[in-house]
Amino acid sequence: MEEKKYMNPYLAGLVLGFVLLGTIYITGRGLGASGAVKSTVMQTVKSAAPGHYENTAYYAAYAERNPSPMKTWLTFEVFGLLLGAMFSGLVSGRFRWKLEKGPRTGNRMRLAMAVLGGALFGIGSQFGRGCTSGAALSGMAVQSAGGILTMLCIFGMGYAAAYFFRKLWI
Amino acid sequence: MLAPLVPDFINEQMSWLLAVVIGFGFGFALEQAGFSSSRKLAGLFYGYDFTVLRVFFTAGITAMLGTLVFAKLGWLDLELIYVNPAYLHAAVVGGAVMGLGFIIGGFCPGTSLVAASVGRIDAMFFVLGGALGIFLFGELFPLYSDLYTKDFLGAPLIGEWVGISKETAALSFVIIALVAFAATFLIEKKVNRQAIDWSNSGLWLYSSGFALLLYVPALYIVFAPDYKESIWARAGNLKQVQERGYPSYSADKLAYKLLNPDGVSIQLIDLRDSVSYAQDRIPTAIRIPLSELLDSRWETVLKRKNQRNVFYAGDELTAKRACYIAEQMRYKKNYVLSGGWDAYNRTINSVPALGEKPSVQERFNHRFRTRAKVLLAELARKHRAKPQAKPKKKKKILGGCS
Repeated sequence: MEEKKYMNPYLAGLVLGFVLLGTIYITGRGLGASGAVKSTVMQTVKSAAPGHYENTAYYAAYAERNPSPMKTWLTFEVFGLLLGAMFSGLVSGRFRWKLEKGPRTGNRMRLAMAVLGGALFGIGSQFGRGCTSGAALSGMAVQSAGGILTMLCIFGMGYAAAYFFRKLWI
Repeated sequence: MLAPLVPDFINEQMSWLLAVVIGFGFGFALEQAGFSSSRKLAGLFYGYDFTVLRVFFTAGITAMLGTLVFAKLGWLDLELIYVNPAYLHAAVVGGAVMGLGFIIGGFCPGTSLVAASVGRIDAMFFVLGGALGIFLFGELFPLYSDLYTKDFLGAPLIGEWVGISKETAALSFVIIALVAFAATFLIEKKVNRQAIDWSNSGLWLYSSGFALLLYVPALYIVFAPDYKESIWARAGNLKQVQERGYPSYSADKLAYKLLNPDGVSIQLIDLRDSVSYAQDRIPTAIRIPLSELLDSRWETVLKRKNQRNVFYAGDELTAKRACYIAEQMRYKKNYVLSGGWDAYNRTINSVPALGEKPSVQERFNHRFRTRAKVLLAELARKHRAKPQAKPKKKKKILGGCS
């Protein structure tokens, strides 16, 4: 199947905006992504080392808010996200096993950097109480000062550091 | 029906089902936008592809404008929705660390999950890295637990920091976004060494159409009155309220209904000041000042099934205004007590003595009122012993990713 062109970005933005608006209207909360990864980590720690889970400050605080980590709104939402993305990729002929990287980067380098970048995002999203979805996008939609500040820092740092990592991408 | 629909209209299990549907739309939109490609995402930082900025800003502003339009129309209660908290230090540190992760990893958590769903191997490694990062954060938490909670400022809105209203803030966001869209269009063309065809009428048509699409709702938000304010203003319009003619109860009929419940319950609302209310009132009446009727917290009391709301005040006009507001708040079956408190007080509380030659009707009335007075006093005693109808407590939705 031939790969279809991406949707016009403004149109895609409108669609995403209405999804977010619908979420706020129905549930009173925004979208998220890192929260579901967190749920999975919490569930893993809980299953692997229950004692450790109960006695470590950060996990214990989480357990208090979420008695069963996988039964949270965001885990269901991200389950839907995986399905929706896969559906979109299939109908547009973009589903393909592929390692995407800059023209001057090797495979190993790209994977190592993906893990490192992911880890940084994982850490940062804990400080920021959410990632690009939960803090920046959803925060912007409700005009949250904290969310917008985090958003400015994400993109500001991206630009500030772009020069040093240019070999990865261009 | 005032949103958000969770938890009053939709229970938790149902909200999980909806979460899957919402997530589906979220994932679909992100993938269609091209967010499954790390090179496309990284393009934002090198100027060769500003898709991320376009999608992100358009989505954020669409949702922001929609939320405020809904609030203006009275469909959505902004007091209930989740606003991300502001932990000053953690927000800055977290944002900076995430920015670094973005440029190194080429994804953010949402886009990495999307890309992994369409088979991108680098994205799967990013997701693993994300999990690793969260685990490390949890393990090493004592090292920075101070930083994590330092300078907690509650959940302020950006306008509160800058000193503008949320309406003005929304308009400012629209203007900033439109300028950014135009500027990045020029930069992208320059970086990619493409010529711009200024004579292309489609370019002008689409860009101005899109600009209006965001600009018009923003102007509406700035200039449209708040729905509560406009209801209040209309309720103050004498002619309009007088002409509407609400159904009414006479004092006798009210007394009869209170003493002979028939499947339709009666909620009496006393609109007078607290002193008069404390002195004396019609049994079972609760006091809600006229202006407080606009508060949706009273919904639980005034919007029950098989219930009639009977409003009374010192005068009839105030009760009619109350009916008008109640109707606008979508409470059904609102009645006015004719003659107001005075009429009730005259007929039931101080039953006038019978004249020289009373008619059959007068005798009947006298007998009914004398008995009603005693029975109503009994009803009042019983009612005081029961828990009073209270407005519902507003509970902010818990959201976020933590």
